[in-house]
Parts: sequence; C-alpha cells; structure tokens
Amino acid sequence: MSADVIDVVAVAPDTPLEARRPLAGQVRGALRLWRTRIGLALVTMLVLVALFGSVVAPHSPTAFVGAPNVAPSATARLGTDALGQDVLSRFLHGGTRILGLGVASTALGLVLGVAVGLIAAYSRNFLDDVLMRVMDVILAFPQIMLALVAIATVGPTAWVVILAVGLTTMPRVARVMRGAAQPIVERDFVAASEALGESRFRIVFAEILPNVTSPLTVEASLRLTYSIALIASLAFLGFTTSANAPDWGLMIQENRIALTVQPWGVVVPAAAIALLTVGTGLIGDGFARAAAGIDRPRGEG
Amino acid sequence: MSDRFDGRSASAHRRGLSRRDFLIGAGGVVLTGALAGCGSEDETATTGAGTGAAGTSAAEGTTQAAAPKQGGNFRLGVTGGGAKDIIDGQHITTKPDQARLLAGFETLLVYDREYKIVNEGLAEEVTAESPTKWIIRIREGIEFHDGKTMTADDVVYSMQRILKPEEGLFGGAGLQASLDASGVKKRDARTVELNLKRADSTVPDQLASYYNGIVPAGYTRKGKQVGTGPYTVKSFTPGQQSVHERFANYWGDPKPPFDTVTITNFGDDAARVNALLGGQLDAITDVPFGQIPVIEGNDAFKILESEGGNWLPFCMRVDQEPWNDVRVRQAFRLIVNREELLQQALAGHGRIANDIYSPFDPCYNSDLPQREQDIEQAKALLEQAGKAGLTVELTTTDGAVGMIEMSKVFAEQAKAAGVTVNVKVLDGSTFYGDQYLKWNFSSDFWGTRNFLPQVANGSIPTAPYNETHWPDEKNKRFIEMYGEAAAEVDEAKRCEIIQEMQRMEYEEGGYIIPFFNNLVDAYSAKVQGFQPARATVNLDTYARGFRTISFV
Repeated sequence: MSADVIDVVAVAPDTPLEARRPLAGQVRGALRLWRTRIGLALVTMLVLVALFGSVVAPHSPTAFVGAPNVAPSATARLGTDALGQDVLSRFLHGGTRILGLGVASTALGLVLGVAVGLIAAYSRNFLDDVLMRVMDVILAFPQIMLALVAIATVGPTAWVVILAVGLTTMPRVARVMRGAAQPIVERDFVAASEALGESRFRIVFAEILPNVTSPLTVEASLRLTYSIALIASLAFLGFTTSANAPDWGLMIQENRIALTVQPWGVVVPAAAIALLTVGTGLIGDGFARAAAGIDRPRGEG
Repeated sequence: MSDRFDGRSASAHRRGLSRRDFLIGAGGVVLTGALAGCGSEDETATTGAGTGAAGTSAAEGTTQAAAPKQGGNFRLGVTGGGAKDIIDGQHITTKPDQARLLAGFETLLVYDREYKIVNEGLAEEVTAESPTKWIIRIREGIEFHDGKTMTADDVVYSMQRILKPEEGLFGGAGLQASLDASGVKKRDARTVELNLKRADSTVPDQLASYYNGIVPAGYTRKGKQVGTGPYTVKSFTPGQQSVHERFANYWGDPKPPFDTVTITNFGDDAARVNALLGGQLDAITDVPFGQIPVIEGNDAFKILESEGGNWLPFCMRVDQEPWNDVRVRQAFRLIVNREELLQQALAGHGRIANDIYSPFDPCYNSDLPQREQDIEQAKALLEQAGKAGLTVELTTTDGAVGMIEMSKVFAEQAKAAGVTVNVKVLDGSTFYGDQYLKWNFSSDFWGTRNFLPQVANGSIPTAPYNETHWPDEKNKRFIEMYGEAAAEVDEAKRCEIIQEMQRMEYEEGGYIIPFFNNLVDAYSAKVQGFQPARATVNLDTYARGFRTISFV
C-alpha cells in the first residue's frame, strides 16, 4: 500500500541528519502511530499462529479426515482440502515455513545488502562502481525469475529458497544503504576516525552503520513484506520443500480449483498471507513516517 | 468394487464380438457388412445406455434426444496441449491432438461404446484368410477432403507409413512386431493384403485404434491435412486453437451436423471450467473433481462420466535399485490402500484395480486375488530385502487428473511402513523430456487398450513406452509368451497365455496400478447425443468425430 512512499523516504539521503532520530526514539515515535500498532498486532497474531498453531491443531496436517473438498463439519471445522485433509489443521501448521523462510531470507539479504552498500559508499573509488553495477545487473532481473531459476536448478530445499530470496533481496538493500551512507561518509567524524587509525571495518560497521539505522529499519520491514510474498508465490507455483507440506502458498494452489465449492482452503491461507504482508507493511510505514517526522499523531506538535 | 468390475468384464465378453470372431481360420470372413449391423449406431446406443454398462452417469446417456439440429459452431475446450501440438492422421503428441485427429481422419475399424470392435469404419470387411494373411476390403466411393476417391493405394500407403520406424508414429509399436512394410500389398483397387511375419491376433485392435487413421497416398504431416473424416481443417495454431469445417461429401451416417467445430487448448483447469460455465464453450474434457459439484448444480450443464479402462500407475524400474529386488516391488504394492487412494486422489471417480491393466480385454485375469494393504507384510518384505526405512523419490507431473494427488496420498500411506517417499513434481515438458522412461520411480497415465496391444506399447523391450523396463531377467519368458499369445488363433488358448502373463505381472511386475479412473467431462445442455462409453479417449471419443452430437 505504501511501498512507494517508503521507498522515497528510505532512499532520501538528503534528509538532514538533525531530523533523523536515534533508533530508540524512532521506535517510540513509530509506536505512537496507529498504523504501527495495527501492523504489530497483525504480525504478532500470525506469528503466534505459526509458532503455536501445530500445538492446537485438531488433526495431523497430512491426515485424511474426509472426502476431498467437503464443507465445514464437526470433524473438519474449515472443511477439507483437495485431498480430504483438514484445512484448519493445515492452516495452523502452515505458517511456520513461510515465516521462518521469510525472516531468514530477509536477514540474509539485509546482512549482505548492508555490507555491500556501506562498503561501496565508503570506498569512494572503482570498488563503488563495480559493486553497484553488479547490484544493477541483479536488479535488472525480476526477483521471482531469479529465484525460480535457482530453485528449478538446485531443487526447492529450504537453504536454496533462503539463498535465492536473500541474494535477490541484497541489491535492493545495498542501493538504499549506499544512498543513506554517502552523506555520512563525508562527515568529519569519519575523517577523524581515519586519522586516529581505526580499521576500515570498524569505521564502516561501528561508525557509519549506526547512523543509517533509520532507513535500515524501514528497509528491513519492507523487504520482509516482499520476501513473504515471494516465498508464498514460490509455494503457490509448487516450489516447496515437500509436495504435501502444509504451506499457506501451496494451500492456495492446491485448493483454488474448488474455490466455489469449498472456499476455506483458499480464503484462510490467502487472508493470512495478506494480513501478514499488510502487517509488516504497516510497521515499515510507521517506522518510515516516524523517521521522516511526518504524519505524527495529534498533539505531538 | 472388484465383483462389479469383474461382472462388467464378463458381460462385455458375452455381448461383444470375441477375438475368435476375428480368427476363425483360413478363409474365415470376419467383420463383414452384415455383422456391422449388430453394432449400428442406434443399437449400440441402446445397449450402452439401456444396460448402463458403459458408464456411471446413465442419466446423461438416457435423456430423450430431440431431433438433431443442423448447423452452428461447436466449441470444445481440451485440457493440455502446447507448442508441440500437431495435426496428423496417424500421430498425436498432446490431448487436443486427439480431438483434431478424430475430426478429420478415420480408421478401417472402430471401437463401439462397449469397447467392441465393429466395422463402422472405412473397411467394408476385414478377413483372416490365414493366421498370417489378413485381407482388408474397403468401402466404395469414399472421398478424401480433396475430392479424390479412397483406394487400396491409400490404405497401402497409410499402413506402410505407420510401419516406418523413422516416422515414429504412435501405431508403429503395435504393428511392427508382426508386419513389415513389404508385407502390405494391394490386391485390387479396393482390397489390401497384410502378409504377416507371424500370426497376430491384435491386428483388428491396431486397425481400430483411433491414431491409425487412413491418409491419402503421399500424405505428410507438413502438407495439407487431408483425410476422410467429417470435418476439414480450416485453421490451426499449435498451442491455441483449430477450426474445422463440415466436409460436404462425407460418406457416413449420420452426417456431420455442425457448420464448424472449434477446438481450443486450455492449460488451466479453472479457466476451462469457467469458459464452459460462462458460455464460451459447449463442452470440455477432464473436469477437475473439485468442480464437479459446481457443474452438477447447474441445470444448464451436464457431466459425462464414463468408466474408462484408463489407469494411473506408479512405475518402478525393475532394472534399477531398489526395484530390482522383487520383494521391494511387492512391499510397495502392499503399502497401497487402494480404496483410500481412490477416494482421496480421485474423489471416488474410478474403481479399484489389481496391478494389472486392460480391464476390458475378454481375457482379463479376474481370478487373481484382489491385493489389499498389508503394512506388516510390506515391512517384513523390506526387512528381508535389507531395505527397511527405505527413502525413494517419486517423480510426477500434472499429466492427467489425479497423477499428483495420488502421489501425495501414496507418500502419506508409505509412512506407515517406515518408508519415506519424497514426491517431486515436475512440469510436463521436463517430465516427458529427455529423462522420460528413465525415472527410477514415477507415476504416469495410460489409456485403455486390450492386453496384447498394451504389452506391445509398454511392457516389452521393444515397446516405445516401457517405463518399468519390464521384464527383468527372471521373467524374460514374458517376451516369448507375448509372441505366442499374439500368434495363437485359438481364443481359449490365447486367454490362457494372457492370463499367465498377467499373473507374472501381478506377482513380479513393475507397475502399481491402484485404480482405473473414470473419464469425467462436461457439456452444455444445449448439446445432445453424448453417452457414457467404455473408451480410451474423452467426451464419448469426441462424439465419434463430432457426428453423433448436435445442438438441441
């Protein structure tokens, strides 16, 4: 919903440093916003489903509890899916994978992207050009296409999904980080650190990085949103670690043909994915607005 | 379920023309025009619907037919298809190809709705002068689409084209074992001799197989598509659509009722169903089971469900680990809960099978005990084979309705025996690409054939689609028995051999055949004439070349 706004805010290197808040202050500011609170509530709810859903699920996610595509009953509260498995149980089991892979792949993309972006910004020489042109090449391909190539070649194992999504997330983060770090690199304290003989590693990750946490926070939530959507899309296309795994994306694909007969097998996982992405999007939006000092709640001045 | 199935098999045997009718010795005349009357369109229809023997949706087949309305554009949506689509009177690569072939080409003999061979095709009579000499007498005055009259030269050309290995045609495998191109000779303008290398009781089956169409001399796939069928090709875009126009000089009866027939590919199941429900199509093949209630609940549409002899096997390569140990093959067959597999994967639209194929064959071995799930015995067999806790990869694709689903259900069932089955779902072009027939453990689909033609296509080393690489060393005798059965002119003796061959496959074969799946299609209530049929091809075998159906 607000991806464009976030992008603009996140890559706005011209924002005066004075206007940027320390991370704790930014969190406090974001939490004052209703959009952030709603986002957190949604994400928390779905994280709880993912973490504890399997404990309360009435059936095994792969048990055949009735005929295929049967409407809700006492045995299957949300009906059965295309193979006669309990939709509710599969939903309750199905969030772990999407959330786990989403967080892991986003974390990988952030770590790599931050490293590349900051090194490129700090280097101020040919390395900057080389790194960013490589990032541009990766950016030139749609993220899902690169992920599909990797998964189709190696196989849909968890680590391949994490690597594929993480590596394709990296250039997007790197671009934002480089833009945010460039004005920082020119600041006097960086020159002072160099004069004191601090290592380049320390200058990049101990001096510059703390000054770009605001756009990084926004970017992290934004990338998490996209990663979740991408992983769900891959599952929808059938690229899951197990063909019959309880997975929200796969559930949509398996049951869409019977949408008009037994809609719950599609509606429930689709709603969960939608709420999860909306939730992470709202959190990111809240952080972006708090960082930029816009859209403050009434009375905040 | 097995009793019901056996009853049908026996019933078909009683009602149908037995193989003995084809092979009554030297000089015996078979399938003459007089016999053809037994299988006339009207009478066949009455038999099929009246007894309900051919299908499960008898209501659809017995609705009172209104007078056929002439004209209109019949729009058919067919599952699958792609850039590899072709029109060829003697070959198919995709499912829409079947419909297109049947619109424009015809065979010498045909299968009726009871899967009996009748001479309602281009042959007036087919005669076995001796076990190794068959005489084909073609009808007089049949025109090709280009106005040329069909002669023996065209039949000779057609048969020789099928027999050329370099053509790689679908019907080649069944005929090449007993017939060389040099054995096909013209006797006179309407008569052709088939001089076999050895006796072959499957010749009528081959002549009736829909893909062995008669084409004019000089025909090529790249040239103009000319056949004798009810419709000519007006336009064709592979992967998309074809339009066929009524052939005004069509010889048969009934005459083609539609002005045009439009056949459209639909790769997506939901899109195909929605196109029917939205009125953009008049009929579709392969209704996904999840959509059947939607169509059944709408009076404007009807389901056509036929008890096919089609089968979806799991294929174990008997020449590779771990399947080269028969105990592992037996264990996997015992892991299967067939009833559960049928209910969960096909929503019950089929009937349980017993690891052997060709249920409509008069010689089908129904005396073999129905194999049931026995997890303990399966575990014991795996233990004996040193394969306890086995992990295998089951490769599958969306080749036919139920293929992926049955693989997933089987993987769940295997857990009870401590076996891990990792289901690998590939796209169709990968599955049927270079690795096809090399998969270690896979699922696949087959249409209906009688036993010996099926063996020729899938269960001997010369077969073009031998997924299991059967027979193994221990069962090499199976190959000799195939030759003996095909050459046997006495039906009783031939059945004995066939039943022994089926016993061999039942006990040691590489297929797991859990069920025979029904053909489930749908059509608009504005169309009449469809009937449930025992068939290998959908929608009442594409309404016999789009002639036996019409708009209301």
